[in-house]
Amino acid sequence: MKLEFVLNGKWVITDVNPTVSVLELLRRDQRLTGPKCGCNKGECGACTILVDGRSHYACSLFAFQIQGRQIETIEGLYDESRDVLHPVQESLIKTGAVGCGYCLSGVTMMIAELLSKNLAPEDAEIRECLSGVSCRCGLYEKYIQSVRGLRLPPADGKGKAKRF
Amino acid sequence: MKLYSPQHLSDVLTLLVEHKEGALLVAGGYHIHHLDSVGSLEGGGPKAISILIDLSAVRALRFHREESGWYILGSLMRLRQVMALDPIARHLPVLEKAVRAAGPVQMRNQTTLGGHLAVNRENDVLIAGLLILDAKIYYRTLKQDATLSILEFADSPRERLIPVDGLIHKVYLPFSDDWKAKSGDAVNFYRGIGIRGGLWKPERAVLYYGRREGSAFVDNRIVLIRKGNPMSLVRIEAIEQRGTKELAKNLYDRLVPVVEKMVKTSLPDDIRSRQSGSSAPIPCSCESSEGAEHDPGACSPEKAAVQMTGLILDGFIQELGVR
Repeated sequence: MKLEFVLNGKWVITDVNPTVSVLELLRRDQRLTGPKCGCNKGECGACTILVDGRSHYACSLFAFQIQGRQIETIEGLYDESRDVLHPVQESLIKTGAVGCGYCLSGVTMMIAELLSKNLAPEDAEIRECLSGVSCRCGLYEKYIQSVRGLRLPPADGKGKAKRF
Repeated sequence: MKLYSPQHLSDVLTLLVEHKEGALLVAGGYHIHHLDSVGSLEGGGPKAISILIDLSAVRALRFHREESGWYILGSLMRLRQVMALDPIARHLPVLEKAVRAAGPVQMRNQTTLGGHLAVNRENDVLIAGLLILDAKIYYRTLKQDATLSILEFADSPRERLIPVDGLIHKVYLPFSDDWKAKSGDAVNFYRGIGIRGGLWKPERAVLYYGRREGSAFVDNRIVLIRKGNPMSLVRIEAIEQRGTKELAKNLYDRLVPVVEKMVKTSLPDDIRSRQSGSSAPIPCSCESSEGAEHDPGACSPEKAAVQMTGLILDGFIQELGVR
């Protein structure tokens, strides 16, 4: 089938088998290896991508399901023109929240999604957000610290925020 | 394999009649991994799929409305959307909590209510939440419509209940003034309770209370969940707040028999065949696991049942704030 979607801000038009998973489409056809194949059954979260701004497991989506949708992968967070990392990536590095790195793109995408909707998340909200990714290095506390370093102070209010 | 993206429900039902087991409905798509892998769809085998039916364009399945004392959710509502509905958060918070406990953010962003129910895992916490609410499931085929109670749905294999050419259309939640008046909330969603050495390892318990009336908690419902078992719903009309001891005894008397019954029904077949009747003693877990050492204290399933009940009660009583 002819598939058209926006990938990290650029339109992609390609011919694919509709039953290919989005993870396969991204890694094999689009050569984007940021989303990792961990469990390949929607549990570990290493393949997390954003579809229209919401986190999804790329391994659990058929290619036809992203027809006309906006897809964002870890590669899209990096600002190539200015050679600048995303604030979430900067914060993870600053906090030392980096282990083997296999789940890291999933963790980064989850945090990016959380902060795009809520600039001052409570710890419980951060924990819930991270529950979608299995980190075998056990760096959850570090991840939480890195989000704390990014969030606005409570006095600035909560709720809908500008795109992070 | 051919992909269909119908816009009308009647077209979906017609395709299901034509292709029966050969058709795979895709709503959110999250559960495709239950078919082993996407690749296996094309490989033939026992569950060979000849067509995919993408439901995303069928607007008739994506709605929510209040009607005659019910709040009705279309089966294509995503779990994330269900959680965000104001009437749910305000009047049926137990469902909001059940949805939250059902899976992580990515899964809730993707999964639809109907898709989740269609997969119907017996230890599913969302189904437990619906059980507490006495929800109903309405399904359709081209020739007939029918409504199932959530209890029927939870206790039976799906294929026996919903015909192969059928589709879950909507879910009815109680929304009468009586229900709205309740401050009903789930006080606990346990996960992964295990009893070391015990035969019975329950996975989850959902505890719910309807409302406070003076010194009592009224309309209490407790669901015990264990993989391989039907869910057990225990109703306790009123729990008097005074006297922790009487409260605990009251709950013990009601819960222990239920837990014991679940222990018995979860026995491996070879052990069950050796049982002469329901009154026979339940064997220890060490009988079914090779090399395990027998420890009468730790292995006794009766003790496991009591311990399990104790765990539930402790949490329940603490969260009700009576201790």
